[in-house]
Parts: sequence; structure tokens; C-alpha cells
Amino acid sequence: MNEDSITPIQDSDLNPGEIKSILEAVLFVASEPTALKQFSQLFDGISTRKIRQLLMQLRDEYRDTNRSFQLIEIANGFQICTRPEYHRWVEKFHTRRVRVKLSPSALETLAIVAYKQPVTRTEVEEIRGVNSDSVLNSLIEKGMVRIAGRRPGPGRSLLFATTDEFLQQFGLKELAELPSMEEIEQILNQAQIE
Amino acid sequence: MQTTSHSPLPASAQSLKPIYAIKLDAFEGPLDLLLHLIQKNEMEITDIPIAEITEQYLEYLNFMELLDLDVASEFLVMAATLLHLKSQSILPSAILDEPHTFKDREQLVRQLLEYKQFKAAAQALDFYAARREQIYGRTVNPNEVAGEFRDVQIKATLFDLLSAFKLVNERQAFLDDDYYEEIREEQITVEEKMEFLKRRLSNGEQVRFDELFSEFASKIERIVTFLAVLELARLQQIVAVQSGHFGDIYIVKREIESA
Repeated sequence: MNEDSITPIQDSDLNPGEIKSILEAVLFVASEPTALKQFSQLFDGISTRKIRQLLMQLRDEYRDTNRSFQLIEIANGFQICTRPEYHRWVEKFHTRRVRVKLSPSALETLAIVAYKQPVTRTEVEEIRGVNSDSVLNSLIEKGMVRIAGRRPGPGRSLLFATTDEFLQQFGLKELAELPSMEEIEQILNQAQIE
Repeated sequence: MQTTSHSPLPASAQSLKPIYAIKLDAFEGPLDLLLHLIQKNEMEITDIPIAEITEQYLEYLNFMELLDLDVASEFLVMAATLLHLKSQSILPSAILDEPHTFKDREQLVRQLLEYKQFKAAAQALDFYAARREQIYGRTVNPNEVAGEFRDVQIKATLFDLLSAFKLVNERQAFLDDDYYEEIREEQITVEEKMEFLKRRLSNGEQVRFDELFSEFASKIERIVTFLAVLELARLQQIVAVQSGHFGDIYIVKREIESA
């Protein structure tokens, strides 16, 4: 997300309909989720609350008119995406994107980092019971995990946390959306049925 | 089942079967293996029959060694822990430090329970990823959007480097003909060139790939430079990045994380 390249537009006379169209235009050309803060940098004197409200209207309009795309909140931002029910045809049309399929050990490590962040390598290894050096490095390389500083105190071990790319890849709006233990059980039961 | 006599698999492939099965069942670590054994035997984590589980664990370990699989040292540490717990469980309780035994066992149980939870969380995340794959966002080439040029950096591949090197060669090919009559002795080695490149990149600046080749570099020197770049990339001391596919390649020194 590129935050400083946007210059404010000097029109405070814009009516809500026009603002909504501008938001839509920006969403249309964005390849990544756009944060509220980035939208607000487009305008002079329009509150993020107002922008959020207009985005919600846009979302409802798409839904109420049965569009094949939807406005979703993901990775701390907003993005226009196709609806899952069109997945089959989109996939048929598009050359299949390379799936970054994580290995079981990478997934396991990522889960620990996601729930325990910020977390040290030693803490990850205590839970997994195996050396996790290379798997953490590969998660960093894949952009799923980042170094989030050092733990104060002796050793000053590196702290690991997840990235926005992680939220993006797993379809999460924010970290608070990570499933709870009960939800995990439900998800796994459901997955078994499907 | 009478598959043995009518199996479509040749005998040699059949003999490979057990190895194959083990590979499919590769364990992430000793906790993973223990959990597998506990589930297979339908045991409760909180009430594991230590002697039985230890025996099965060691059997597995032997099997893995038999198959020449790389058994990580953590597996052996766990074996020792299990044997320790087992020995404690068969000794008469009178001569044992009871609270201590209890603590060791409790810790293993706690570890297993926690690990099991994260394993489930990992499966749930996998499910989320699959669900996420069914929706597509728009992909816009940022260069197509008018406005400030955004430097989108991607890692250059070996092929990108090779074609860039080809261009450099074509540009400087006149040097290879008899343009210069004097034959200069080339003494520079790949190692020396690597040192030179590292110094050049040390102040954190990006250097365009073709700028690494001095204007009058001979063919040998160009090749040596190119090999030095490849070697430094292999050693992960430098990264070659591109501003988009087929864009100019820049060489950057890699920041090395201490600790």
C-alpha cells in the first residue's frame, strides 16, 4: 500500500454521490486492499467515518443489485472481488494462478505465530517440539511473517508477527477475525462434511 | 484382499510401498508422532499408558532409521523423555520423588494438548485459504495507471539475469574483435570480483546490472563479473530486483538479520 503518492483533491463541494463514485473508481484500479486512511488522503475535509459510510452503501448496492462482484473488507482494507459462486467460471477462463500451498509444517508454524504474536523463535519451537528456523525464514520470504522487533531483556530475541499479506491470503479482515477454538472445531467439522 | 497375486504393480514397485506410506505420513516432529500414536490407539492425552506408547514410539523410530530417513535429534530427545517417564512408572513409588514424576508427565500432557490445538488451528487456516481462493480481486498493472511511477520490485530470476548479461555482451562485443590490438593480461579472479562488488554495494545503494560492467571490460572480465554476481546471489548476499517483468535489473545488498 502506497500511502504518500496520493495528493488531496481540493473539492469540498463534492456531493456524496460523486464521492462514492470516486471511491469506486479507486477501488476499481486497486490491485490490493485499500485502507480507509488511504481513501481519506484523496479528499480534503471528508471524515473517514463518512468514507466508511459511503463504502458500506457501495457494498450494499452491489449486493442488492446482484452483481457478480462484491466489496469486501480484508487485510485492514477494502477490495472489490468476485463472488465465490463464480469461482468455477473465472478459474476456467483465467490461467490458474500459482497456488502458494503451504506445507503442513509451514501452516502449523504460521498458526502459532498468528495466535501468539509477537512471538520468539524459541517459543514457536517449544510448542512444535522441533527446530523451526528454516520454516520461519521461508514464511518471511513468502511475506506471511515479519520481524516485529526484539523482546526487551536478556538475549533480545527477535519477535515474529504476521503480515497484511497473511490476512490477505487467508481472507481475514483483521487479526481479531482469527477463529476461536470453538470456531476451529466447527470449521473442521464442516470441512469434513463438504 | 487378494491383491498380491493380481496386483497391476510390478514387484519392485510393491516393495517400495512401505517407504512411500511413511513419506506420506511424514511427521512434523516428535509431538506430531506422539499425537498420531495416541489418536491411532484411541487413547486420551490426559491418560496415556506410558509403557505402551513408549514401545510404539521406539518402534516407529527404529522403522524410520531402518528406512534411512533423517531422524531429527528432537525425536531422540523425546524418546529419552518417554523412557524416563516409563522407568519412573515401573519403579515402586516409595523410592520415587513423587511430585517430580507428576510434573514431568503433566508437562508432556500440556505440551501435547497445546500442540494439538495449534494443529487444529493450522487445518482451519488451510480451510480459510481454500475459501479465499474462490474469490478474485482485480489485478491492475500499476504502471498502467497514470500518475507517479511506482517502483514495484520483484526478484529477478536467473533467466532475467542471463538475458541482461546477453545484452551487456552484445553492447560491448566490439571489444572482442580486434578493436584493441594490445592483449591485456586478465588476472582478476571471481573471488576478487566478489569482494569488489560487495564493497561497491556496501553503502546500501542499488546498482543497475549493466553498470557493474565497466565500459571497456573485456569478455573475460565480463564473464568473471557475471559469475561473481551469480555466486553472491547464490550465497544470498545480494538480491537482483526488477521494476516489473522485463524491467531494468538492480543489484542490492541483502540485509542480513543478526541473531
